[in-house]
Amino acid sequence: MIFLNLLNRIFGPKKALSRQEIEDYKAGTGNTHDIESKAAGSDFNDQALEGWKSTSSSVNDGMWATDNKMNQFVNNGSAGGASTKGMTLSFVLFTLTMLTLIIFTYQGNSAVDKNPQIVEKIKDESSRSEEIDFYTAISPEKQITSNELIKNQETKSTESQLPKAAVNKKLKAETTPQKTEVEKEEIQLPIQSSGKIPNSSKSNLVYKDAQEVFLSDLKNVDYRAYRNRPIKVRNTLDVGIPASQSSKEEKQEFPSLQMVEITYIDYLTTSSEFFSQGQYKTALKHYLTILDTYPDDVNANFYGGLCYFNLGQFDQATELLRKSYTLGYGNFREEARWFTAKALVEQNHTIKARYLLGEIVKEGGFYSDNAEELLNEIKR
Amino acid sequence: MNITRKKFEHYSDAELLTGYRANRDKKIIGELYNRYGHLVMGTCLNYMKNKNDAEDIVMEIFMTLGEKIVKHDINYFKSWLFILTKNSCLMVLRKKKHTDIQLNEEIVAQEDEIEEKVIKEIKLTELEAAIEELDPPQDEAIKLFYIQQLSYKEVSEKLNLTLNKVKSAIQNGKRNLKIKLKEHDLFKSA
Repeated sequence: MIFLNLLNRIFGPKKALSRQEIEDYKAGTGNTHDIESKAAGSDFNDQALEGWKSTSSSVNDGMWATDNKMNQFVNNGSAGGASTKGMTLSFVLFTLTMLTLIIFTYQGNSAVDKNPQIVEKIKDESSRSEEIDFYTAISPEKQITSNELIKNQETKSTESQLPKAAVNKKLKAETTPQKTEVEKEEIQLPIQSSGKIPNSSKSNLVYKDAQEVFLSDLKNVDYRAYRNRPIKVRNTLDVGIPASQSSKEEKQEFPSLQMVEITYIDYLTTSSEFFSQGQYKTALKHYLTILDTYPDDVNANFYGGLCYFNLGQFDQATELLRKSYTLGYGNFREEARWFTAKALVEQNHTIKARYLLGEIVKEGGFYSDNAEELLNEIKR
Repeated sequence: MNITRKKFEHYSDAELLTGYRANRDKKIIGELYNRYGHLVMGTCLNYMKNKNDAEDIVMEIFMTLGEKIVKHDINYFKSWLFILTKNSCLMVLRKKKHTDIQLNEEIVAQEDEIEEKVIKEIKLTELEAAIEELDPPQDEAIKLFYIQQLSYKEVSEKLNLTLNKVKSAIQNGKRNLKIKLKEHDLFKSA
């Protein structure tokens, strides 16, 4: 039974790639492996992906003309030919006129414009939140706590060789003031983005560590210079309105739908606090909210994965942990691989666990002894 | 093209085909376009290397799809549509070369259908052993891609192979793995 999963992954039917997946693949975002796996399992997906890769236009732009023609075909029963061109032109003109009218008529009524989108988003969020509330935490001795992580961080630094230890000490010394800096200077942060994140290109397989910042004593990658989009959250009881927005006396027709924007670092700090207090459900909701805005965020992927682990959702845990390190941001790689192996063991995915544990032992990193021990245990 | 989505999005392809045969509802064609239009377009772009030709073929396919659905017994729509797309592209390409060779659109390969057969439950060690039996670099490519879930690019960097060689190692590895598993009677037919 446990192998069925892998067999299905190799030989199982593959779903059709969506427009978004192809778009993500072209842009170099999204889950590359999953998309390639779908392509490897279906010639249709593969050929289509190759075709779209060969064009410079986006999928939506490329499909614009056929989308319109199909719209007409489905609704009017005709498409193509000279008369269609006239109809298309009339349709475009009509749409433009209507859009102009709508813009001028409803310019000030933001509640009406934004409401449907927000309702949809809230619906998604609330169903996700309800689902998380339904999870049950695994037994405390199996949980990955912040204490364990902090202890490992410390042991790791003391176990390192002398010069490395010195560097670590220096780093730690640097991080302490940095922590207060985060608290004090968060408003003056030079949040700017050139759009290009350093070390993001995968030119080789050397995993590089990015600069770190410690929040609630937990290691996090310091993304501050690259995170200029705020995290949008609903104004519920667990999130207050920032002082900067309290002066706004805008009349809200739908107060429960009001969205507030919080800076990335503020939101991450709160999330870390929840995690370190063992409030994994709340922490998870926070990390998932971060992932809504920044799907590749290694901090949210790593700690979100640990939350899922502690809540017994090992599939989701391994999925997030897998995304928690990249070539440019390898800070969580060792931890993520070790906890992934533990999650695989919990799920009885023995072959995958054995493979991964073998790799960890081979690499001889911080968790190699633990991995060897666990490997011997599951071999028995 | 989201008009029809709400009504039909939960229907399987087979249910949509049955629905179309019963009602001739064009919105069903719209839903099939929503599901596969971009794959048909991508495949056409891959063959034709020309956006205008590709768009013409996409429209031709979907505007005549209704008649074909009624006329033919289609077991696996996605695979059938893929072959239809490929054949349509090849027809246009051949016409462009002034040849009269007609392609039979009914030649529907069964590649994808084979994947849908039931996979028998087997012991972990048997799959592991079968992967180990593969020739290099297929063995490593299969392990890295399917077990370690690396991307093509990462596999190519790790094995020092070109992307195309990685793709073909994975495809050939999959095929050989299936042969080995069949030899040991580890697949059962549906």
